[in-house]
Amino acid sequence: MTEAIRQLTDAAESRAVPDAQLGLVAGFGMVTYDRCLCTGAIILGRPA
Amino acid sequence: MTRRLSYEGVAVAVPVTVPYVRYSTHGAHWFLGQAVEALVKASGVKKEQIDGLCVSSFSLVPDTAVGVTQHLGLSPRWLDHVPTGGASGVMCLRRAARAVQSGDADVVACVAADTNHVDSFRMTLGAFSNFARDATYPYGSGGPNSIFAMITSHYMRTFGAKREDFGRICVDQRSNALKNPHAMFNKPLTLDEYMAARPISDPIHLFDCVMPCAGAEAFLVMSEERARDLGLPHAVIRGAIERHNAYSEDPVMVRGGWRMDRDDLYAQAGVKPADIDFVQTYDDYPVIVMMQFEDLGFCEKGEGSAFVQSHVMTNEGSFPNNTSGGQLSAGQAGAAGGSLA
Repeated sequence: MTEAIRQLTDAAESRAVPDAQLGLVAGFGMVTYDRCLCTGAIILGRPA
Repeated sequence: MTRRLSYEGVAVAVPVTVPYVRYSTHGAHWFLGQAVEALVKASGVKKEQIDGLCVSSFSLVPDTAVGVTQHLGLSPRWLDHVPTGGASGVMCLRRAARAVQSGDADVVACVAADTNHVDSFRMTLGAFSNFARDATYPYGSGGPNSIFAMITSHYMRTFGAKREDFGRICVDQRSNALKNPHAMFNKPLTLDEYMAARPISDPIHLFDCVMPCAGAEAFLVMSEERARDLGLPHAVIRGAIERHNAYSEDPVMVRGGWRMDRDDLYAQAGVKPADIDFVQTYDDYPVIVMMQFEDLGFCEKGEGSAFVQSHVMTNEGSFPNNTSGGQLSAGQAGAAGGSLA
């Protein structure tokens, strides 16, 4: 999330993706025996 | 299905990273405190004005988010504890956004932090879940590496993926990490080095694994109006989904919950996968990155290998993935791994 915010606020310095307008951040976690139970995803953009 | 409320009017700002260290004698509370201090300093928001707090941490136990309020001298009117590791960044932001929209909180600090003591890994494994405590750890199970080795091996057999395909993900992420001053790994990685690295749990080798460390990630959630008043550059939320215990009928994981809700995600945002300029996938292991490429609609199920072979996943490439290097190159500070993306 923090890196995506940096990309979309021109704070990513030399890592900047050229003309980044939309980023997708995905999450995954809580392993049991054979898989993880949680997933999530957010699309972030720049203000209008 | 009725369309859900949008996330209009919500600003996500002030990304903070407390630099990662391999081991620390500090507790999780200290890293959470460093993060909140950094949020205050970077935002111009006084500590007293932070009236919402959302915390994610494994090593905070037995304390939860509320213990943190006393340690840090906060008095929030909205509090959440989201102990879901790698999904916690997304989940915290969804919850904080609704709190701001409803007026339950004006400025929410979302903070994820973990310490890493020399025996943290072993201690966390054995207490991670009832299943781990009762059914696997006592029998000598080494934890996620062997679980994800099984998932990786099954994926490779089912879809014909090769280790080289996973290696492409790791190599390109490392290339991105070289421009991240906070990354734990700062040497380039070649595909040959990836392939030759020592096995951990076949077919998982060294560079398929994150390095556990201590650190924190944090950000603030507030109204766009408040962010503008404070002069804070910010991002906005175009869409958000979460899902738990998806596809439980699959005997081994080949797809994740993103697949169930991805149409809703893109519909909320009014965009298609091709419109996305960069992805920050959850990279506990490269097989899961590949599944996210598939399940989030960038290619079909089983096409992950062909997709990584035909794309350059560096920040200047055709499909930027994990622009900071991801956890595989930056390190995994416990639950903060869910927020570094």
